[in-house]
Amino acid sequence: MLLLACEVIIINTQFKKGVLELLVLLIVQQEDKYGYELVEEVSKVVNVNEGTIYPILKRLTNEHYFETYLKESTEGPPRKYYHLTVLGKERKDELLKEWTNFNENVSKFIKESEHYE
Amino acid sequence: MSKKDFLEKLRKRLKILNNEEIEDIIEEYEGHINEKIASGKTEEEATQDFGNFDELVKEILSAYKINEEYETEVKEKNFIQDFIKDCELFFKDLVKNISKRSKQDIIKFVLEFIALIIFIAILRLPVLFIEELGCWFFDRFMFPFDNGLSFIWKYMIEIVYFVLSVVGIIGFVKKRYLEGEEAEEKETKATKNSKDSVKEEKNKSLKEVKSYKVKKESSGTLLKIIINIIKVFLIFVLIPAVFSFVLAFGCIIIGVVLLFNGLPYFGIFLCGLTYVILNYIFIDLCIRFIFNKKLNGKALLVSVITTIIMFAVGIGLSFNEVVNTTFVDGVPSEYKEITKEKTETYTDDTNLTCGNLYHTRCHYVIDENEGDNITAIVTYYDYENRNFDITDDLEYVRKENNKYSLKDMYDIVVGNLKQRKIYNYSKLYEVDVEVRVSSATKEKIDQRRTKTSVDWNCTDNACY
Repeated sequence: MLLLACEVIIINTQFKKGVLELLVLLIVQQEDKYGYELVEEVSKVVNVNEGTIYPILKRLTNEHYFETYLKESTEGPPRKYYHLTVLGKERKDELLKEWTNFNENVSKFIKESEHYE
Repeated sequence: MSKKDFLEKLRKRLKILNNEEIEDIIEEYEGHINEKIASGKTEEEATQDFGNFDELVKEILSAYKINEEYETEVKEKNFIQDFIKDCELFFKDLVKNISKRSKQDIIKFVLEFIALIIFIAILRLPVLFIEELGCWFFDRFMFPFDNGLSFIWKYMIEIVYFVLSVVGIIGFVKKRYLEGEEAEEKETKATKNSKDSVKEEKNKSLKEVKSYKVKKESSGTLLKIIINIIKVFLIFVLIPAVFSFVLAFGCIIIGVVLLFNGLPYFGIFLCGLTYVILNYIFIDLCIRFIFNKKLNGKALLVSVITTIIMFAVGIGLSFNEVVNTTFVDGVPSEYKEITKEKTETYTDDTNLTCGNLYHTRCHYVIDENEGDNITAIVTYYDYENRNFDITDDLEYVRKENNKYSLKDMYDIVVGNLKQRKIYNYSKLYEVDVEVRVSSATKEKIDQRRTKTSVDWNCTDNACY
């Protein structure tokens, strides 16, 4: 499924942003994360330019899907952690539903077209 | 890019956001780079992982719902329209500002403005002096090109003078104008302070921010106006620059042809080439400035330094070449001297005298052997297949052979240059006339000249 996503992502940056947003929301839902950690996790799933994740975090924070807090770290200065808000959870559910729906439709279509081969 | 460079650049490009947001973003990216470095990457690698910088900026700005094209749009806007708008805004602000001032202030402003104009007018004298100095210099030391160089010199000085005056006037207006703004700000502060409440405090700080913004805007439009004026003048500078470039480029192509023909003047060619390159760089810079195109500073520096090194090498080589070249005050040996003679017995009707000639060198030679005879000798070079016959009036008639070949001349000049010799080619056109007479006949001729008072520009023994 994700491989397919990789292929489709190239088609449309708007679409790509949507998927990245969903991924970020899903990752933060599991556990509060700081920026670098988040970028690493997303990079594991999708081959994406590291710089582009921060603007998404910024936007999601501005739209109150995330809350941020500072936490001391053993190495270096304190890190800014992202925490999913209730609003963020709603947004995540919404996006997930959209994605699943979209993915199902596409998969179905692929299966059908394979049938004609 | 190092970490510092990257963050600086990012900060600059995100200026449209408020400071808090910029710091927030910078912190995140700084943290990210630090983590990368901690995991064993270099600064360069860490910043490289962010990919294309412009794309990144667009991405960040779009997170704030700022049109991604904002930056490029600003750059690509028609700058003439912008200029007019800026001017309008500036003068509107100025009028608004002046109308607020007291009469005294306005009179002071006007007086100062007049003083400034007079100062600029006085400044014209040293400018003229510099112009004349340059022309004198070119006249003295750059003989064959003096007119062209003088023209370019004058043109440049005039442009610099004009731009400086305009910038000076605008700078003055700006200073006065912004001083007023500050005074106003202080006033509002003072009035606010007289009233006391917490709310007022808030208002004050808001006002301050506002007036600060206004100030910034007005100085911004001023800067824009100055930049646009400079742009207009750069266009005027560009006209002779492009002209000179095209001309020099043509010369370089001729130079290449000549070099292939075996001319030993590589140094001079190199100097010319560097001139063309510098000229090109200059035009490129002007165009980039006018159209707000991005500039690759490193590449520019490298190319300028390379060109200057080339120029230095060229100067060194051409010095050697010039020193090794002989200048001969004569004509190449390929051109034969042709002499024609005509002898007559002198009577009062003879017209074989120098008095009949002008535009030609003619001189008398006293030769007692001539007796009653008068002999005219015409000497010229066998050039362009010229052929002269001497008539009774000493008007030599040129018989056109209609064979006029530029190639022969070119071959000979190139051949001379290969031997590192330069002749005085203008001598080829000269026709020398010698009239041989005895002293008695010469006296008769002189008497006749005073009688008929046909007076060409003659000295005792030569007419020109």
